[in-house]
Amino acid sequence: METLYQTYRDQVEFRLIYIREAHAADGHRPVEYAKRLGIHEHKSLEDRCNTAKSLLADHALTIPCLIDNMQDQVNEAYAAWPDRIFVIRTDGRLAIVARPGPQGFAPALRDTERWLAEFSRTGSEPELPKNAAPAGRTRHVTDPPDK
Amino acid sequence: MKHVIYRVALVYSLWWLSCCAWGQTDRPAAPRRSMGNLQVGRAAPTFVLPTLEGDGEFDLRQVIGTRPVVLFFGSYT
Repeated sequence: METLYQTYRDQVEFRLIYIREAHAADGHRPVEYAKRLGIHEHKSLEDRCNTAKSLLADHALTIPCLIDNMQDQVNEAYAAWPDRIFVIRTDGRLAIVARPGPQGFAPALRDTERWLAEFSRTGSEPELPKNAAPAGRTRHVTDPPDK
Repeated sequence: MKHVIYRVALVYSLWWLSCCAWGQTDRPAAPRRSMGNLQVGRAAPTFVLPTLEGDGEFDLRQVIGTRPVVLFFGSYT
């Protein structure tokens, strides 16, 4: 992920969207290191930000990070939990839709790398497959700040 | 005979309810993993989210039309 960001950051926008924990110490199927590091379900946006900062620092990630809101609106719109990758074309249509979870992450990372390599080499975005869904209506999923 | 059946049913119901209560915890419900309805070709849902640094917001609508976007969703755990 970081390697892709460093390689293609001048041509493509990358964002890591930090969502609710997958296996927090007090959550669903907690992992051992969540207990050791004291990673709990986020009770506030501040909790979420602090855990995101720890992730970036501990794994030396420099990719720009966004924080999903506490209503998990973006996570839900993208069905992204526990983790997932998407590539969005310049025209706003989805070019890569990974399967969610660790089983989908690695293959999607390879697909993303191929997509980016072709885009970088040819200067144009790879065509959508013939069986691609129609674009449909664009849905905006987060509330405006005054709500 | 009917009384016996009623009593057995009552004891079983109480046992079942106590098991349910025992299983309750204050853990939040696990989100359901699903594919959602997003498919290749569909318009990506747009959003505005704050940056981690707290120095502004990212509005996907403002980026679409300029460059491709790669989104990685995840958490520490």
